[in-house]
Amino acid sequence: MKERILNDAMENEKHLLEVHNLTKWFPVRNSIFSRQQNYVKAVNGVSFSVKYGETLGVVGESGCGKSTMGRTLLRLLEATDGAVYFKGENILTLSKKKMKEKRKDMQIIFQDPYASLDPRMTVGDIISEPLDIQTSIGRKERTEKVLAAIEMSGLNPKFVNRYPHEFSGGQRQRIGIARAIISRPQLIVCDEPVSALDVSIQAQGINLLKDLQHSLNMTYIFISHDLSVIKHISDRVLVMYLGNLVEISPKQDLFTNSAHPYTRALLSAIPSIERRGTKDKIVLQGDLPSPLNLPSGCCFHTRCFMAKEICSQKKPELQQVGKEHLCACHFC
Amino acid sequence: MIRDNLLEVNHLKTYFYTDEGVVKSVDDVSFSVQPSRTLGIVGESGCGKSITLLSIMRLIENPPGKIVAGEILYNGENLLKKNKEEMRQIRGNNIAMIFQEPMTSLNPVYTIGEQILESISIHRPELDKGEARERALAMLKMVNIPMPEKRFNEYPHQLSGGMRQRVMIAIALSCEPDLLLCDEPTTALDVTVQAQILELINDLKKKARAAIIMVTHDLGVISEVADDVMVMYAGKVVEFATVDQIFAQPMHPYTCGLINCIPSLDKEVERLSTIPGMVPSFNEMPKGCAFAPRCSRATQRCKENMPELIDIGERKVRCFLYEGKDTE
Repeated sequence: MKERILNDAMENEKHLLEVHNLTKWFPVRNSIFSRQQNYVKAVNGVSFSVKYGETLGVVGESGCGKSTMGRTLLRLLEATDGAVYFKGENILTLSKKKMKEKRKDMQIIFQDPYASLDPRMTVGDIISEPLDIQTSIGRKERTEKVLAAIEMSGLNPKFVNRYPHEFSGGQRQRIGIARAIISRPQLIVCDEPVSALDVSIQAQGINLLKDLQHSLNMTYIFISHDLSVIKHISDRVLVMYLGNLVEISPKQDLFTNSAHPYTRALLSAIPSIERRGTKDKIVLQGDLPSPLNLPSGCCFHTRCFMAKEICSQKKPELQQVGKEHLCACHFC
Repeated sequence: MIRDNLLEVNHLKTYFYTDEGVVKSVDDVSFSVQPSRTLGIVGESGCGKSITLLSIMRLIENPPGKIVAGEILYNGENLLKKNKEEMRQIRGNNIAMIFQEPMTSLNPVYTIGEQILESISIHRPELDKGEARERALAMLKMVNIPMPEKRFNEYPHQLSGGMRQRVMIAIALSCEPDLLLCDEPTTALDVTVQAQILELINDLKKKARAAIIMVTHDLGVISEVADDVMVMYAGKVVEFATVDQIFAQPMHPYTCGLINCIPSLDKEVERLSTIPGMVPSFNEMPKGCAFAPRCSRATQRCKENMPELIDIGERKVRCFLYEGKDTE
């Protein structure tokens, strides 16, 4: 059944989301009197597409622009440049009113389950809030929908009138998930949804997200810094470094056959029980450069173990290195 | 193999007296650490691992907290019998600690240099200013901070998270402690930076023959740095073994659960296995084994009685499943 729906959808439009040259720069000023405008270049011309029903994992170190990208996609932040086509329609140029209607199709789950729930609202109010903004729904239908969302998220329906502080981190994240699914969105941006949780609770959260994706037929953009979580949940993976897309590939190919030196370093840096004792680790030197003044040429060349002269002079273009596998490196 | 214990903790009990009742954060915990070895303490949040470290440092705030029983032998001397002044001499000088949050544990209004000099000047009063500065710079170099002379005069906010954690390590090591307590030293850091810090800590163990206690919830980190592993649950030790034993053949159902619920990098599974439920809060602690409500192998006996920590060869495990199997 699900396959048929997917096929139909694919014939009409191939991709649920197409992103072209998405750019987000935050202006900063050095001092009150300075005329020169500087920019934190958080997202720098990223292009990719997301298929119906898939999970696109987004990885990178903190400060690489993954969360900014997720928020810009949903217009929670206004993009500096670029286009985002959601089912063929560029949502970046929509009017505020039209965008509000679109929001029921695209939701977000935030990282911090402690900060993303209003402490003065009851669980029921928090979960039903996305319905407020949309069309008027009768009170009875509303209650039904809230209860359904609560149940689907694995919470006890009698929690409806409680407040967020009465819940543990894992339960709060379930409230966040219930809030995201209540309007039956087609796309959910999951911004590190399980990172703040203990491992045993994290596994429960991941399983829940996978189940909901199957039963509600949703597409995920799953942002995480944890590669083992990304490996488990994604179909394709996008690797970001300093606001740039450095590699995008189907999961299997990325993990067995990564082309970009940054991806290789990331993969080898994960402490893993199974790969205990392997000595040939690539340990990157130094920290992420500041996004205020990006390195010239390839932005990774300051930390790259393969860097040659050309890397500091010329910015590498994305090239095809395998089926659906693109990489931005001069030597891939 | 018999080794000299640098630190021996026997039957430590640290309780917190709150309005709602007594929280037994650390409940009858015993272990020992030897020079040039790393003991990893694992468990989920609230299992008492950080409080164990703070108890060793005697940094438990009283009230509400109190070390009610047990002994902490450092080189044979009981730290719990020391007075405030003696304890000050030991802290930083013999035993040092690295905290989880490099963002909040440095003082924002002092430069990096001043903060390193502080502990050197307290514990090495014989050094004059120039010598102390030399030493501080040498420490910054040792933890691989580029341009130490420049960083010396900078404030914490000018440094990245990984750099700040290195500064914390430099401060901790400035008086050459022989016991280093690390409380989730890499949790707030990115994997690439985490790899650098773990390499640094491993070097230290080899070069300075320091003993290290590493507290973390990340079994991956444990597998890279630890020699021995102690698993804690709800304030109690549930398993103790060497790192090879624990990953090759975990015994306690909680340890097995923890290992299984980590997504694998090499295997492909449709669903992750989980541990149902969550850690019980102190006022709803079950009568028997604290893990029984979440355990798939629990019996009626587990619900009523708390199992003892039993020896199995050189390992220890707190579970009725292994009773009478004291040889491996």
